[in-house]
Amino acid sequence: MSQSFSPQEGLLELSMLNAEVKEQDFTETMVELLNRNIPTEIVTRLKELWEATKTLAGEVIRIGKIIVQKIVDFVRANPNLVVGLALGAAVSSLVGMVPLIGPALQPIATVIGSIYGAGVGSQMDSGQPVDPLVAGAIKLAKEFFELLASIFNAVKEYWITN
Amino acid sequence: MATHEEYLKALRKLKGRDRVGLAGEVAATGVGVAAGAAGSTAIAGAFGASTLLGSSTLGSLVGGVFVTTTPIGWVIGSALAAGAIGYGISKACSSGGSNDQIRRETARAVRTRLQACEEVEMAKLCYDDFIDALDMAISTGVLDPEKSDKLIRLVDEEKMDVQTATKRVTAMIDPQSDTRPPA
Repeated sequence: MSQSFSPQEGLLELSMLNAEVKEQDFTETMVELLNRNIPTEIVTRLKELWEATKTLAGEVIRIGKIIVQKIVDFVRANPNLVVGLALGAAVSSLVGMVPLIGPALQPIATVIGSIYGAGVGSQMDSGQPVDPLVAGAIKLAKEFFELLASIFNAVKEYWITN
Repeated sequence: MATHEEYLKALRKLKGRDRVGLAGEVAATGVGVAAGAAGSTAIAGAFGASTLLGSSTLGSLVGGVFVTTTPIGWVIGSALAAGAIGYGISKACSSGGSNDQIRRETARAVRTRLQACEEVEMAKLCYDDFIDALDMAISTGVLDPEKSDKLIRLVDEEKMDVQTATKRVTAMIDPQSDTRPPA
C-alpha cells in the first residue's frame, strides 16, 4: 500500500532524509560498494550523482546522496540478489517511479545497462530463464523505493518552481 | 568506517583504467548513436560477455522490454525508443578520462584512510603489549598495582608514550632487556 504525502509532509520527510545523509562520506560508500564487487566503472560514475543537489523551499537538498544511500541500502537489504541485478532493478525502478530524478540517474543507468545488459544477454544466449528473475528484482525494488518515491513525488511542485 | 582489509580490497579495485572509457577508445569510430553502438559492443567485450542482447533492465527504463539479436540492434532499438540512451553510451565511453581521475583521487583518499587505520591498529597493538607487560609485572611482584594504575593513567592521558612505558615496565621484569649506556 503506497503512502501519499501532502507537499508539506513530503518536504518535511525530505528535510529529514537530507539531515540523515549529511555526514555520509563518498570514500566510505565507494569502499563498501567496491567490496560488494560492484564494478569500479559504475562506482566512479556515482560521484557525479553523489554531488547533485537541488534547492527546495530555501534548503539545499543533497538529492544525489539520498538516492545513492537508498540504492546502497537496497543492495545491503538484498544480499542474495546478484549485485548487477539489484543495481539495475534499483535504478530502473527509481527512474520509473520518480520521473523528476530521471535526468540525474541517466548517466549511471546507461553504464549499468551496458555492463549488466551484457550479462543478461549472455544468460539469454545460454538459454537460462532471465525474465522472472529480473521481474522479481524489479518488484522488490519497487516495494523498497515506494516510500522514497512518494516523498519525491510529493515535492514535485517545489521542484519544478525552483 | 571500513576495515583494513576492506580498504585494501578497494585499493586493488581502483588500480588500472576505466574499462568503459577504454572500450570507447577502441570503438571510437563514430559520433552519437553510431559511437554508442560501437561502444556497447566494446563494453560487452571489456566485461567478458560476447554478445549484448536485449537488456530487460534498460528496456524497462525506456518503457518496454525489447529484445534484439545483435549489439547494433540493441542500441538502435534503444535509440528508437529513446535516442538519448544510445547517445548516452558514447557519452559514458568519452567520460572515461574524468572517471580515471575520480579513480586516482579516490585511491589517494583510501590510501590516507588505510594509513590512519594502520596507525590505529599499531597503537592498539602497542597498548595491548603495555597492558600485558603490566599484568606480568604485577604477577611477578616487580610492580605494585597502584603504580600500574598510575602508569595506565599517564598513558591514557597521553602524558607518557605507550612504547616508553612498555619499555620501562619490561625492563623491570627483565633487567637484561634494558638498554644501558656503556659503563
